[in-house]
Amino acid sequence: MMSRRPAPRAALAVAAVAAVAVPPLLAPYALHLCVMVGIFAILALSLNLICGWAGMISLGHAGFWLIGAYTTALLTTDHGIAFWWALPASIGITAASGLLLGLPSLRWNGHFLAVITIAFGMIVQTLSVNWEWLTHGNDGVSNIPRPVLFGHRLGANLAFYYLVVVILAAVWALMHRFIVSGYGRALKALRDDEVAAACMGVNIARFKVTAFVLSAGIAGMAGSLYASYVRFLNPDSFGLDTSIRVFVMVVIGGIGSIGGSILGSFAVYVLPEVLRPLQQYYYVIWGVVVIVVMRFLPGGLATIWSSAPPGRE
Amino acid sequence: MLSVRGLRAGYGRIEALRGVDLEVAVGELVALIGSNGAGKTTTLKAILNLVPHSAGRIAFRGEPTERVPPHVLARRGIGVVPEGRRVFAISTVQENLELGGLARTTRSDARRAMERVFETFPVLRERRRQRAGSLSGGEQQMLAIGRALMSRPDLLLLDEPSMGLAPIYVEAIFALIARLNREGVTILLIEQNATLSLEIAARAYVLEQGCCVLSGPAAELRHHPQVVDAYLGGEFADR
Repeated sequence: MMSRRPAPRAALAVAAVAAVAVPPLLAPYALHLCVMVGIFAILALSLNLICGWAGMISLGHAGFWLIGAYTTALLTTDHGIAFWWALPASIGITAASGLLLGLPSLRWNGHFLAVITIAFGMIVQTLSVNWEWLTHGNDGVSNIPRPVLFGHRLGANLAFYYLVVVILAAVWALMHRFIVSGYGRALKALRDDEVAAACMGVNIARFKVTAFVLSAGIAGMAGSLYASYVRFLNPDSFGLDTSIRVFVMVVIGGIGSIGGSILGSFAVYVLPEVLRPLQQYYYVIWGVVVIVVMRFLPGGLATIWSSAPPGRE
Repeated sequence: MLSVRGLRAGYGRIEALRGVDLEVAVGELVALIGSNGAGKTTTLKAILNLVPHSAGRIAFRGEPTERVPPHVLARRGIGVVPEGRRVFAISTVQENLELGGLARTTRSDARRAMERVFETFPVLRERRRQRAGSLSGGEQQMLAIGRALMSRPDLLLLDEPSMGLAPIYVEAIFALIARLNREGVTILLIEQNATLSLEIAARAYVLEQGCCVLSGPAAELRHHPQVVDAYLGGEFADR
């Protein structure tokens, strides 16, 4: 991204091959972590669209994630609709809910917008607890079916993992096209200087709202995958801590970097698991790791290959 | 090309413009001069609808522009070089120029327009892969002007292009503005530097406390006692 040197092609190729070849060799728990990393990577990419390219902050992405997850969960259980119809429905409904944050983003910026998005996430979570007629409240939704592909149920986690990888690759490709397009350039300009961007003919309102709608749609897709992967949902998984966790993934990985979001998801999801045997010390170590990364790689893990930090002039 | 009549605008209860009239004809270079806080930038912002106005009429090429958002004005042919340059610092020089062309040009047009900008400012070609934020002030000003020219504007609004520049750059920028005008670009130049502005402009307006207090051919204003006193190094007599 930007003037940072991209990761060497060789490293990318190794990562891609490893993502395909290694999981069959992994223990079940490690494979589970890989699936979750993939799902969170999609969620982090959706947030990166808002933070990295549009320059706005959302701390309510767990709300979008929830809407996508519950849409799939309820459609496939209570209404017996197949996953492949529930997935686009999740994307559509979540994208529409993106308007709820896209419109305030036109009037408020920076930390004001951040607080509004926190409120959004909390309202959505509260509704999922209290609208029992729709969401079954704290009981949650159970027995969510796995997708069926060409007559085969993706019951095995390995098969599901590959589904996640394919969708993640598609999101990667979509985001990449998006950035090199005039649309991505305009968003970057808008992040830098709204007024100047407007004077260049950029329709700020349309770009901001579109960024939120697209981002929400992708987050909804991650939610849909999550619901059918874990097969049981309840509102606890979708709190502010989750929103912040996704935000940390984006920041640690590198704001505005696609590969960085994936790297960040891996680091933020897997490292605590690795450190778990340390019990009470693990939060301390995790905190230190985050601080060290931010101190020495302010552009995130994505800049690990470039020598100089991408300081803003 | 541009006509402003009885424009009043302000921020909250503070009225920054108290009836501004100005006119820019096709092909003209008109200067709007005045000291700090006279309302020059507010006039520009009101023309672009970045500040709401409470009264008055603005028309661009005969069409009223009230409630036309700034990005649409850009597409209709108003190019802006904003105060303080406001280049997109984290983008490269080339990306800045591409953005300038976003509003009105196709891809091949944009390439030709960029070629012309590079001919005008060879230094930008050398630095086209550099971040705009790493350029010197003068180079950034050239980039801001180049960016505005990318959309081949019918009317170019320049807000304090000399601000914060080394004297050598100020001279160069003014020479360039005069040249652009000779090449056919209609220009409204907003400046504090009255001496140089009145040298290159055909006509000028003097703004004071939100009102146009003087206007006329630049050659006459250069010798007008009030202008000489206030802006051209005369005594600050009885004012």
